[in-house]
Amino acid sequence: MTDINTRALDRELKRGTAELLILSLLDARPRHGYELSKLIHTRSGGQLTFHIDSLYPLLYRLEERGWIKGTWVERPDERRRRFYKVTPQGRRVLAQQRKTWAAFVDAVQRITGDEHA
Amino acid sequence: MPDWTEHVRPRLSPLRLSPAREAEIVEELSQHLEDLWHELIAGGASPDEATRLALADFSEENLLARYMAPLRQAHSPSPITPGAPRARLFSDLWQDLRYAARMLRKRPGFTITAVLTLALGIGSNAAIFTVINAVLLRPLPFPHSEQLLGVYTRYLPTTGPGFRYFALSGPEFADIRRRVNAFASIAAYGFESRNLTHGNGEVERVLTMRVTSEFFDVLGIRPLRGRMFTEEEAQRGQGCLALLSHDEAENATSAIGSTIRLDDSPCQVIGVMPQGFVFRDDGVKVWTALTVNTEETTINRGSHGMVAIARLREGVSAEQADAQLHSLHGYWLEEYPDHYAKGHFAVSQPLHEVIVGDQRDGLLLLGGAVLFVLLIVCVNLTALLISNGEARRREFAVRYALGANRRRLIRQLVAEAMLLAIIGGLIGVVLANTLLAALLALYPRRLPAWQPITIDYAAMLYTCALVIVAGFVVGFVPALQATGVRMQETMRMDSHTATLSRRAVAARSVLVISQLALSVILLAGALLLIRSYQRLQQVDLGIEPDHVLTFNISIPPGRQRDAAAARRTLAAIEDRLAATPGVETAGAISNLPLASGGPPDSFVIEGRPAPPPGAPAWNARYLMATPRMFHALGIRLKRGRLLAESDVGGQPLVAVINETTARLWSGDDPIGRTIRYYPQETSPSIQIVGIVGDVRSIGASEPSPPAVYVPLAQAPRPPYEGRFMTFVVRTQGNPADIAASALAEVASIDTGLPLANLQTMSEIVSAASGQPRFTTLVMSFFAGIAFLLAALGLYGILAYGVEQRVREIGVRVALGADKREIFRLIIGNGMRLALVGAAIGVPSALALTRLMGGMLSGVTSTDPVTYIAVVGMLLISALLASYLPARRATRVDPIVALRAE
Repeated sequence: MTDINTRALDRELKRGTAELLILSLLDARPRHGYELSKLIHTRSGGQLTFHIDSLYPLLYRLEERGWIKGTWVERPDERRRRFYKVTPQGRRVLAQQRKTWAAFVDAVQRITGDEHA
Repeated sequence: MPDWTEHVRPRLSPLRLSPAREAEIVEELSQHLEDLWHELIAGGASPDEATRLALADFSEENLLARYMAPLRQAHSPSPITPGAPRARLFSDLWQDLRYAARMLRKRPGFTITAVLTLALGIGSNAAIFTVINAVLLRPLPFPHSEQLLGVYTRYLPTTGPGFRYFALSGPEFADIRRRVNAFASIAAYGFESRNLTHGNGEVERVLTMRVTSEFFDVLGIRPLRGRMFTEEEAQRGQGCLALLSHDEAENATSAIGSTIRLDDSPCQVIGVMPQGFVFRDDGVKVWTALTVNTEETTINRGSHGMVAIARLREGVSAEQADAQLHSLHGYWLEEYPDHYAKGHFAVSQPLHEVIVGDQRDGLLLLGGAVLFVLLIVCVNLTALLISNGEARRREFAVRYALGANRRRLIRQLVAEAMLLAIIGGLIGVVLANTLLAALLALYPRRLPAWQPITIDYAAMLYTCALVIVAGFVVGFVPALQATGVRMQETMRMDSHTATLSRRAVAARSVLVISQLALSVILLAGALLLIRSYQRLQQVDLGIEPDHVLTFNISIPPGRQRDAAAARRTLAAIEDRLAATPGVETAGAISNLPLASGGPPDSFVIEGRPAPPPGAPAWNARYLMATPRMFHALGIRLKRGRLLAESDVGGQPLVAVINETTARLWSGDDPIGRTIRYYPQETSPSIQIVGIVGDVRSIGASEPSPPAVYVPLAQAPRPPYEGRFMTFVVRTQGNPADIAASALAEVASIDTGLPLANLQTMSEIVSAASGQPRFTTLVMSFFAGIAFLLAALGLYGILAYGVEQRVREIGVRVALGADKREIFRLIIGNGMRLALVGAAIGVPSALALTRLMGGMLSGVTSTDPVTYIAVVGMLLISALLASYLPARRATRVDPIVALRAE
C-alpha cells in the first residue's frame, strides 16, 4: 500500500470510518487524546495519522453526540489530562458500526478478491 | 518549552465558545503539543526543531476552527457577564434586561413594593391624563375648531359687581354682525326645556336649542338629511320649523316633512342632524329657530340674553377680532352714551374655553397632584435603590475587577430600574382603567367631552413616556452613587465595614427630605380644599332643604292660550299638592335656588334719583312665587310680611325683597316704599311689604344675589307670564315617598303636563357642591397616598440606618450608654429630617397653593390652621415612622452585636 495522503484522510473524518477507529480504541479502556493519536499512528504501521486539528474536533463531536465522555483526571506529579471513555450509547453505536464495517469489508474483499483470483 | 496556549488560543478565536470550554480546549491541546514535544526531544530533536515539528501538526488554514464550527459548543450564547464591555447595543440591552430580571426575582419583596408604588403613580397619572386629554387637549369636534369663538360683553365697573363674560343683547348682536368683519359668520343660541308630544299622545319634557340660521354654518356642520332653516324662515311669525337629533329621528320615526308637537304647537320637521353631533349638551333633541330681537329700544339694548358664537374669517387672528370688538365701544359710546358710559366692551373667548369653563382648574389641579404623587414614588424608589446599591457595592467591585467599565455598570442599574418601571407601567395601565371608571362615576357633572373617555393611544403614549422618564430618573442617580467610589477600595473592605457610605446617607436624607416636602405641599393643598369644603357645608344657604321635593311644570301657550288661565291651573296644582296626605305645605317659584338663575331686572326706586348713567343700576332677580313657597322652601321672614293669599289680581301690587336688595335703600326702611320696572312710563308701582332672608341661590361659595319676589297671582310684568313654575313640596316624611302621589295629583288636573326634574332639594344642594366635593375627595386620596409614601420613606431610611449601626449601638450599650439616650438619638434623627422637610415644604406650599385661590372659599391659601395641621401631621407621622427603628435600636444586645463581628 502506498502512503495515504493524511490530509485526504482528514476529509474522511466527516464520514464514519474515523469515528469507528476512535470508538474501537476507547472500547478497551479510557484514553487521552495524545495516546489515541499515537495508537492510531503505531497500530496502522504509520499509515494513518490524525493531526491535532482533526482529532480533537472529532472527539468533541462524539462527545456532543453522547457516544463518548471526557473527564479530567489528575495524577500525582503529573498535569491533569482529559480521558475519554465510551458511553453505553457509544457502545451500541460501535457494535452497529462494526457490523456495517465488517459487511462492507467483506463485500469489498469479495469484489477485489475475485479480480485477483 | 514554549507556551503552547499562545499557539492554541488564537486558533479558537473565530468560534463562540464559552470561556470555560475554551479554557478546557486550550489546556487539552497544549497538553497534546507538550507530549509531542517531549517525545520529539526524546527522539533526539533539538528544542527548536521539536517546537517547529509539534506546531506543524496544525494545518496552514485553521482546520481546527473549521471542524469545530458545526459543533454546538462553538455557538454558546454570550455569557451574562454583567458589566463586561461589549459593542452590540441591542443585544447588550437585552442582556441587561435579562440580568435585571434575574436580580429583581432575587428580591421579591423589594420588587413587589417598587412595582406596586410605580403602578400607583403611573396609573393615576394615566387616568387623570385621559380625562385632561379628552376635555382640555382634544380639539372641539368641528372643522377648524380653533377658529371658533364665544362672543360676549364685558362689564367691569370700578365699584360694584361686574361681569367678565356676559351675554349680548339683540341690538349688540346686530351691531357686531354688521360692523365686525373679522368674523366669517356669527350666530346666537339658547337652551330651552319644552314639552314634546309623542305620537301616542305622551308628553315628554325635552331639552331643545333655539339657534339662529347661521348656527350650523358657524360650527361647520350640515344636517345629515334635509336642510337648515333660512334667515327669513327664522323670523318671528313664520311657522315653526324643527331639526331633530339623529336618535330622536330614529326613535320617533319622524320623517322630514312630518309635523311634531312642541309645547302643544305644531312644528314641521325639515332636517335631521348627524349622529354624534353634540354642542355643549348631548341631551338636545330638537333645534328650532331663534329670532334675534334687534328692535332699538333702551330695554332691548339692555336685555342681555344672546349667547353668541362666531367663526373667524380665514387668516384673521382672535386678537384682531378682539381689537375690532373692542373698537366697537367707541361707536356705542357715541350712539348710546347712557348705556355704555362706564366701560362695557364686547370680547371674545375661544369656544373651547367657553365650553370647558371652570372645570379646567379642578382637572389641572388633579393633574398636578398625581404628578406630585409620581414624583414622590420616584424619589421613594430612588432612595430604596441607593441603599440597595450600597448593599451591592461589592458585587459591582467584583464585576469592575473582571473588566466591566463604569458606564456599563450604570447602564445595568438603569436597566433594572427601567424594568421595574415597565412592569409598573403595565400594571399601572390596568389600574388606570379602574381609577378612570371610578373618577367618571364620581364626577358630579357632565364632563365637556365629545367622545367616550377611555384609555386611548394618546394615554398609552403618555404612559410610555412616563415609564421611560421614571425608569431613567429612578435608576440613574443610584447608579452614579453605587459605582462612584473607587472600586478597588471596596474590594479590600470586609463586609462589616461596607456599610452605608456617608455620601449615600446624605443622598438618601436629601431624598427623604424632598419626599416629605412634596407631601407637605400636596397635604396642604388637600387640607385647604377640605377646609374650604367644610366652610361651604357650614354656610347657611337661607333655605331648609331637608324634606323637600321639587319638580317643575310648564304650561305652554299651545296648551292654554290665556296666561292667567295657565297660572290658575298651576295654583290649582299647588292646592292639590298641599292637601296630599304626608305633605306639610306646597308652594311654587319661577326660579328654584341652586337650580336656575332667574333674570336680573333693573328697576327704579320711586322718590329717589335714578343712578347716574354708567353707575350700576338698581338690579335684582325677578322671581314669581306663591305665598306658601316661603314656608315650603324655608325662607325666613325678617321684617314686614310675606306674600299673602289675598295678593291677587286687582289688589295693590306688592313684592317681598331679600336683605341684599334692601341694602339698595342704603339705610332707609324699604317697607312701604315702591319700585317701578322699566319702562317707567307704563309700568305700575309695586309696594315692598316685607324683607326675607338672603338665599345663596348661585351656590354656597357665592354671595346671595339681590332678589325681588312678586306674587304669581298678580299678573307678572311682561314678558313674563308665569307659565313655568317649580313646585316645592315640604313633606313630613321622606320626600321621595311623595313623588308618586304628586304625579297623580298633577295628572288629576291635566294629564298632558309632564313633570320634569323631579328631585329632592337635598339632592340639588348636594349637586351644587358636587364639584368641590369631587376635587376635595380625589385630592385627599392622592395626598393621603403621598403622605403614606413619604412616611414609609422616612421609616425606610431610619430602619436601614439602625440596621447598619447595630454594632455601633452595641458598643455604645456595652460602654454603658443609656438606652433612652439611644432611643432619643433615633427619634431625633427622624424628627430632624421631618422638620427640614417641613421647612422646605411649607414655603413651597404657600407659593403653589396660591394657584388654587379660585377654588377656595371661606379660607385663604395661607390659612394658618391648615399649615399648623400639616406640620403637626408631618411630625406625628415622623414620630410613628421613627418609633419602630428606635425601639429596635434599644433592643440591640451588645453581646450579640459584637459577636457577629
